[in-house]
Amino acid sequence: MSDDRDLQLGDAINALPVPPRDDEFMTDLGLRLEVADAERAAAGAGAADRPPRPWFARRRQWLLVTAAAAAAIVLGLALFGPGRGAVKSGVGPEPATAAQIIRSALAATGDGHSLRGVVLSGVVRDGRFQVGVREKFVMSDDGSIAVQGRGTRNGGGGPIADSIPGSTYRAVYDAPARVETHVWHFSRPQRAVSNRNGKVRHFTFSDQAVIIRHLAAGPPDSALGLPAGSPLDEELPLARLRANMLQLVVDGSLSSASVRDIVVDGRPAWLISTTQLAPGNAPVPASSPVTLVIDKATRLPIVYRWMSVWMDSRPHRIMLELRFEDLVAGGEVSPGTFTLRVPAHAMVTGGPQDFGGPSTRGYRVIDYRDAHLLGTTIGWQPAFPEWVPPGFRLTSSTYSASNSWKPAGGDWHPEPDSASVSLAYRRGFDVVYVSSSLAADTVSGSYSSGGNTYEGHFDDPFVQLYGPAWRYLESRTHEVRLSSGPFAGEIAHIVVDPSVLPHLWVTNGGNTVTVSGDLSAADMVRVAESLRRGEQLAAGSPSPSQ
Amino acid sequence: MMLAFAVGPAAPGGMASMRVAEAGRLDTPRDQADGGKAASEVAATVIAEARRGDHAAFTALVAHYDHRLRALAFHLLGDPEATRDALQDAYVKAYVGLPGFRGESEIGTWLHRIVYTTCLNHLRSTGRRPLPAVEGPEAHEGRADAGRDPADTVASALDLASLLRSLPPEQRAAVVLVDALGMGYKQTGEILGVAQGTVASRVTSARAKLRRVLAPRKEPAISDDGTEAS
Repeated sequence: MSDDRDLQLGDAINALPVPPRDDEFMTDLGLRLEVADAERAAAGAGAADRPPRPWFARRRQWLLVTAAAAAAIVLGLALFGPGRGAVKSGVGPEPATAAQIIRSALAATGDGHSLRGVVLSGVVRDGRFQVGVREKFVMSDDGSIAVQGRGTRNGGGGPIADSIPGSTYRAVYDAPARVETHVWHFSRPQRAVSNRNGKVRHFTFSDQAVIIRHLAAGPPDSALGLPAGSPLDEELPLARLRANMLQLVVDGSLSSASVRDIVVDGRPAWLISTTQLAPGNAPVPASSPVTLVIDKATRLPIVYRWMSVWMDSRPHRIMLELRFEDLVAGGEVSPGTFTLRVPAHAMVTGGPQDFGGPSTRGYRVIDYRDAHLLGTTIGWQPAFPEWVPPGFRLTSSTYSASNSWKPAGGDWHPEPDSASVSLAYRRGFDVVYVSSSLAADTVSGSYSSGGNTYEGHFDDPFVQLYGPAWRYLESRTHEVRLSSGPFAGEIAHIVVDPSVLPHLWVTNGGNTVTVSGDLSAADMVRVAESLRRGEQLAAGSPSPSQ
Repeated sequence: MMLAFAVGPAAPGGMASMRVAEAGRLDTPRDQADGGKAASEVAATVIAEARRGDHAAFTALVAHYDHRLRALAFHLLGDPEATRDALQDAYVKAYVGLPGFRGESEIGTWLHRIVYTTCLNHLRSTGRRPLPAVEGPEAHEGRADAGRDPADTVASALDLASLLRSLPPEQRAAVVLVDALGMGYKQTGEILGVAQGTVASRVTSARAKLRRVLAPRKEPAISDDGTEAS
């Protein structure tokens, strides 16, 4: 009798509909097998091709391990990797306040020469997190990044994949080699794709992957970047998270924070709830609720949730969320991680004109240490900081000689190719960009779409937006009058919000400067006030070898 | 390349009815039968070709099991797109891992295990595991299901598919593998990575919950004299 009922149950389950295999399934699988072959070849070749880490890098790594081990012995603490069952609670003294917890999270995410994990970004609806994009990532403190992502049906949070559910992409940036390679695999054939010039091209992706390969003249400079469709452009959401955690600590937003003990997947964690103070004077939104969940044992972030405004014609509040899984700080990066081989039948495209891919945007590498040479080369004297926060060192300098400021087709997004010089400073995974531009004119106007016309204010050289998006950004903008440097007396505009890389911009009618990256608002102001021109920079400016 | 077996889905449906009925015992004959069946259907030469990276052989291999693997994935994930994604991921994992496949289990068992673990990972990554009790302002707004007729909820709960989805994934996988796909406890244990006793426990729990749905819906048999049959 019992067996008959089992049979009946089995037949009933088998009678439930199961979606059949679609016609493209095996074609897509074949493409992915090609990608797997290419990756396997790259991994094998990478071990032989990639030069060994320089002795000082290896020595630094060894020293880090030694120092960490010594510290563990002295402090009587145990060192454990995050996200593993063996992790023991107690990395450092038990924090008591929200600020202390967040500081310990900042320390944990900045520890070691590599950071890897999975980041999920999406929206919160009806109290449930809906994943828009899921990305695996590996970061190295030399600036190399590898990401692998997928778009889901939920959308929200991805560069391209959110509009093409099921699409996958891999992107790597090999910083020492300055080579960036993307492999995109789109889930839908005959998909119309609009590039940044407003043109629409039809790609047939059903039987080929699209490769966007690019030999970068210099590291992609987020400070001057528009939303470009590259998952590497914003150095991963983790960078924005770190910058915003830092801002929470310093701007007083944690004075009313609550801390609760919770358990996430069986692991003790802190849940911090607070309201990030609104720096601006616009009404939307007056303040931004922030929720942060941090693993007690590893001090690594698990969840970051904040309120934003949906960038649409009809603005409405929306909760966005970043979620991190399996974060590991300080692990070894295997050879070939930042190399990507092209599948045999892939279509290779050349750059941003083809699909919002990475581009040099006219930038060239230049040795910034010789200010006179730089000025002669570009024909004007940009300003450089005499001060950056301790530990940062100059890792690249690039310039663009182009001097145009043009709207980009129907998108009305000005291309950031005015004559500019951009400096990148690194401190582990923290990055600071200082960029000077000749273009000081602001761009304003109107934008029409679907019968609606929006007033646009494009004067933030960092993010050109219009309509509700601009109003939201303005609400998150803090203004400070600078007291020294070539911009003394000018109003500096500061934006610290998880939606964008934190940045400051200031103009004096002749030049515009942006300071952006993993900095608090106060430090951005201090960098801006330390700017000097020409000869003044030489003595006190951070040197590339610092 | 000529393949040594017919490519196509396994026989759909009816598997439970066709199997032997020793589901309540550990190490059932079904284990032996399924293992032998899989081995006889997939030629060693095809597996060898697939191990060497032959795409045609590999796709033929997974196509052979695709119907069963798809059923397992869909009953675990409950979403066509997620099922497609998970199967693609699982098949790529299998392709990458095939050179290291030592043959300690049947190739079909090994593929089922990869699909099962991949689906569990998808469930985790899509936030379907218990979330921290994070309450934002949206918690005060109306829920999507507010005002829904309670009767609809009851009707939904009576639906086998809904109830199947309400089971923990581990129980869901166990009952699908054993009762729907006709696998034995030993093979199911290998797929789920647990002991046979654990499989039995999970299947028993799942059956108990699912039968609550099936039993009341079963029309009573009426005998010729108009009385209800026992």
